[in-house]
Amino acid sequence: MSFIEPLFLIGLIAALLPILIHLINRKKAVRRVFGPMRFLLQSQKRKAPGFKARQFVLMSIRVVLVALLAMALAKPFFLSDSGLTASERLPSATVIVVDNSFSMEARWSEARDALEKELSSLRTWDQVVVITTNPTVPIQKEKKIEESNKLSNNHDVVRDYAETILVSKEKGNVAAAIERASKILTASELPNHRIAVISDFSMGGFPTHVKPNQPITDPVDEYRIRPKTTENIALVSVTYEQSGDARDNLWLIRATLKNFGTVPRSEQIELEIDGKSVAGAQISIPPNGIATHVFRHVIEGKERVRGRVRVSEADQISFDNVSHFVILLRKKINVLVVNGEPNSISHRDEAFFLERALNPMGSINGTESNINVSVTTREGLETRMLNDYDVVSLANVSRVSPATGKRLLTFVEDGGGLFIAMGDQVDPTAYNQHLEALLPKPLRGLKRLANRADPDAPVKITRIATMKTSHPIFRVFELPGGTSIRDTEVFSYMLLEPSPPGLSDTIMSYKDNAPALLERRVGRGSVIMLTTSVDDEWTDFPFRTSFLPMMRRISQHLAKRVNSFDKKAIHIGDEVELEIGSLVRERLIIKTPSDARIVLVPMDGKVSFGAQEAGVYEFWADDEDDKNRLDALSFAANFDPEESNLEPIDEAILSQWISAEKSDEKSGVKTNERRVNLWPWLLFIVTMMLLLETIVSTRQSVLVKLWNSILNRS
Amino acid sequence: MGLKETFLDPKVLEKLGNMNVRVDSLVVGILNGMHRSPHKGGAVEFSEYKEYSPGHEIRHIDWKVFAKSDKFYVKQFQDETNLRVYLVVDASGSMAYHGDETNLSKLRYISFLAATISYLFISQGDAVGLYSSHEDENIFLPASSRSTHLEDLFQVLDGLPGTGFSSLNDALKEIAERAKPRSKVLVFSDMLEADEDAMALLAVLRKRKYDVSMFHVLDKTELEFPFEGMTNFVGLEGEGELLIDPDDVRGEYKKLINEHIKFIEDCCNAQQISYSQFFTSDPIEEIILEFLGGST
Repeated sequence: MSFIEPLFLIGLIAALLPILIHLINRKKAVRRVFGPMRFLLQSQKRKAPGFKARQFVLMSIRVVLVALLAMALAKPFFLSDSGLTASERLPSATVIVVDNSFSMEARWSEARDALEKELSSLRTWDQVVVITTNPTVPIQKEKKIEESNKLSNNHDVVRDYAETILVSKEKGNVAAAIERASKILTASELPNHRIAVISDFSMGGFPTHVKPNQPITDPVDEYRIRPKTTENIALVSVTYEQSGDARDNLWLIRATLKNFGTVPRSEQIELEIDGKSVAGAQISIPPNGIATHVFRHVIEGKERVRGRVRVSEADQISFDNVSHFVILLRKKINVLVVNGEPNSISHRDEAFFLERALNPMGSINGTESNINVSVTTREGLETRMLNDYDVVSLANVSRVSPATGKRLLTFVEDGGGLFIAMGDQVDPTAYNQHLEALLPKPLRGLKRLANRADPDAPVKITRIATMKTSHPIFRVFELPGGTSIRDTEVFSYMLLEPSPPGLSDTIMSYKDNAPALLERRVGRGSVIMLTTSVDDEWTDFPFRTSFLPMMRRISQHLAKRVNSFDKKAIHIGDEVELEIGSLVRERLIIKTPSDARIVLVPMDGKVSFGAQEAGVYEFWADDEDDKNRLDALSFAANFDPEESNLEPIDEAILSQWISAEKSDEKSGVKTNERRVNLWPWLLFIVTMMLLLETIVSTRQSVLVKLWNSILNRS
Repeated sequence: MGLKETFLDPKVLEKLGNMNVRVDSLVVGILNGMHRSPHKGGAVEFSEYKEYSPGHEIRHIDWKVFAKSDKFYVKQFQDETNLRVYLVVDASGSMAYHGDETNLSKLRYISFLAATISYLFISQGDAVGLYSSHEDENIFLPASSRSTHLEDLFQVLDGLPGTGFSSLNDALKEIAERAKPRSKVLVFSDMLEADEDAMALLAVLRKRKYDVSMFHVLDKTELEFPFEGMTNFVGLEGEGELLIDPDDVRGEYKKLINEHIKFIEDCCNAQQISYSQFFTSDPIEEIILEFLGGST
């Protein structure tokens, strides 16, 4: 028991007053001589016990009365776990924050119990609203009740909404929800504000690097629905890339699992392509570690495939045991040919032979060539979006600007291919400056062996001598007739400077051992350089039968590999914004993983929508038929692996969001303890004792008279 | 003011008029007539010697005996009057009590009463004697019918102390020994200390043919016990002190005192003792008239 005004306890000394008054009264008693003392003594003897007891009771009442009054003035109280303080009996505004992120899946029934308990404790005059960390969840029983951001006295409506809440498949941000709750409470004029948070308070629910805009000052009651164990396996990522030549259709699918627990795990995982299980693997994951398995799978020619990797044995959180993906199989290769020496006479044009080699039928409809060729000039290159192409071919381009040099470098590093063919326009100095990071070897200068008109030319010229036949480009030349490439006559070629060993690979050489074709890997892409020209000025190669297959093979080899590296991972709950451009005339049709159709009308060539399901989303322009299918837009949405971490949140991080409660703890008062005031009860007892004192101290004769008068009246 | 004026209120005497005191049971008086002329007869018949004590007439001292024995003896003569009345007056401490409303103590009240009665008896020629006993002092005044005897009676009554223990029993024993048979014995007392022994002695007196009358005097406050507030009661006969709230014992006290009075009254009635209970606030003449009425 504690006291608010302990100074008043001095008043306890006053409890001695009745005893002192009694003693003084004894001395001040009237002295009276009396005759019949014998009878008086006899009466007193007979009545002595009752008389003394009454005196004792009266004095005790008075002593206790004064003592209780002194104690009541000192305002005693005690702290109790139960009961409500006076202020808590006032109307209160409560925001119940329900964490329905997927990490709550295992303990959802307990979360629901906590929610029910919280709703049951409401009094009719309280205002309440239930908000969730993930409001956009599928609604049960076709009940479409929107989550409200306003406090309400209508508890039935709130309860109706509470019943529709399901576990989401999204990552939940409890901290943001608490901030929302605090904002909602500012609108309430009720005297008491509080926030009740029903969550597992795991690491995933609170951002570790963001602080609240404003400290949360409202008291926060926590319902910690902790999972029984923090052991959890999650498929944190699945990536894919095409391996080898673009024609090979060999795909590497990398599945990465993370073990959030403290014991080593061995899990069986499966790869499914278009709904069929095509591969499986056993994978061991160390505690708090990750492990990656690479599936090698050949996917036969289709435009796109849907796949997923899943952990065979589900654990307590099932949502994070599967990861979806969609692979778009590229059909055509886009090549940008930069013509360094355009000419109105077509066969004099630098790109004439190359363009025809890559796309023999040209602009004739129904071409079956899988290479699309775009031709531009050196100036045109400056403005072209390189990412729209798989290969850029520089044909006798004199120079590139430093900016374009950098763009090309980025293009190649990101997986693009660069083909460089020499010619008389080429400025070696400019090349060495601006394309240094791309050139297989620095250029030195032109080596002219002979002019076409020179009668000694057959002696002076050189020919292709050696080829690295193991290179994919030359695979076809091992076939019968493939050796015709060796007959190629070369009148001039570009001499090269030496380069550090290993930087580049010479895959074809002239008879004088000078490199004819070199390859350099840069980032995820490659650069192939032909030291002679792709027109007939320096060589007769364009006239050779091997020219066409060679150019096509080079383009196919250099073409960007399809992979998932460029694709931003889309998590459930993310707002997806797509640039449609002119792909769609009126509307975009979206088919969700659960086969639901969403129709959107683009605004300014863009559409945006929330990805609320795990799986592959497919798109159609205007009409839902194969012709209008927009495979390029397809994507797969997956769970956010951050939510899979069931470790409890660090209290230091939590305190940033729940500061009100922490300040209470600092003051030594536990939040769940209420102050119970005792002084009203003491004052009540004092009043009752005053009444008792009045009755006991009243003369019996007066009481008898009073009683008689009552009887007479009645 | 002389004692006579003090004790005899002319108003009282006027109310009493010429009423004579008569005793029905006094056979001798009836047989010999009311007045065998006390003035003419006088004490002539020698009865006995008795050692002198204050109050005896000096002329009754037998000087011859004094000459022989060097001690004073008085000659006792057989009275020739019809009636001898003995007044037994309780002069104990409790008799000195009076309530707040009156200054007249019980002792003083019965002194007036006794004096008036004595006057009446002596006026009609009867002999009146007095015995008072308290603590360790006994006062005895032999019965006499002479008018000067009245002064002696007044003297003794005036000098009664009103202190110490009550010794009513001793007084009754003494009077039984000293009073002539068939005498009238008037007991003036508050009877507070009267117990069964006292009542037994009264019965003995009755058996010896004494005409006993009981004048039971009380102060009104003794019966009503009207006191309020914490009071330290002090006993008048050495009972000590008692600090008490009167309210606490009022009921019980009243019950006890009423029982006691009833006991006295019942005993008197059983022994055919004339019983008169009154308060000091009552007019004296009413008491005497009642007594005289009972005596006629």
